[in-house]
Amino acid sequence: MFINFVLNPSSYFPMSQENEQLVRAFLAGTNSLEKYLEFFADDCSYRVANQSIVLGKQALAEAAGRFRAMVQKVDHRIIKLWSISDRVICELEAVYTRKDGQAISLPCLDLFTIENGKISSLQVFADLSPVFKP
Amino acid sequence: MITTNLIESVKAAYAAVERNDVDTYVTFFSDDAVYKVGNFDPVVGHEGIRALALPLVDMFTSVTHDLKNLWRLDNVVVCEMDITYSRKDGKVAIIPCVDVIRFDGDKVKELLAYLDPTPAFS
Repeated sequence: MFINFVLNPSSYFPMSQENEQLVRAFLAGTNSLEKYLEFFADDCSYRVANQSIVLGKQALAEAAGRFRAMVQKVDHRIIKLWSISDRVICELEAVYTRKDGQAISLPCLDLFTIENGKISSLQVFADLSPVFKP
Repeated sequence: MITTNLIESVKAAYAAVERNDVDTYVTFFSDDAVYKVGNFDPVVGHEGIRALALPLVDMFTSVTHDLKNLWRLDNVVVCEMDITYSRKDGKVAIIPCVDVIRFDGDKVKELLAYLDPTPAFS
């Protein structure tokens, strides 16, 4: 067992307001794939649940483009957000509206790493299978 | 005032899971604790957690936690890890997971496990 990061933010770090604002703006969503990609660093990594890790903005553009074509829209309702050093942890309810109009609400946790005002890593911990069930 | 080391409690609770020791595992929770895994409906309290856990003890040879990051945020512990599920039929699934564990005093009042457990069961 390896623990590389143990801290109490109220004792060790002030909350990082800039990173929190960035994540809140990102989760508010945009219809523009170009604007979505602007949130990410060029060498970003992105992973949803058990899927392969997507590396780099070009690969993310292709993956995000495919995903956006499969759903009508995605809304995020933030339940709790912590901003600690360069990480932002966000518990949220993700509401996926499918092409058939059905809205599916799923529990989700997003784990961000922010470097120089860009998302360098995003891991999404959620089971999205209900979104893609026939 | 928090007098218990919540991170040590979390590690001890995971150790109980790894020993298949459900009786000890439930003692980390308050009797009205909410326990939710992925998209499954939440269960409540010691009996709810026990009813959820016992079939898993039968299904898996071992369940181990490879902790990657632990954050203590006031009365909350957030744990990022890879969970390795080794099934009795020989299949092994490694699943990334974040647990958000909320304490009331020294007992867990809510555990939310964010993951897609599908590969462990399919």
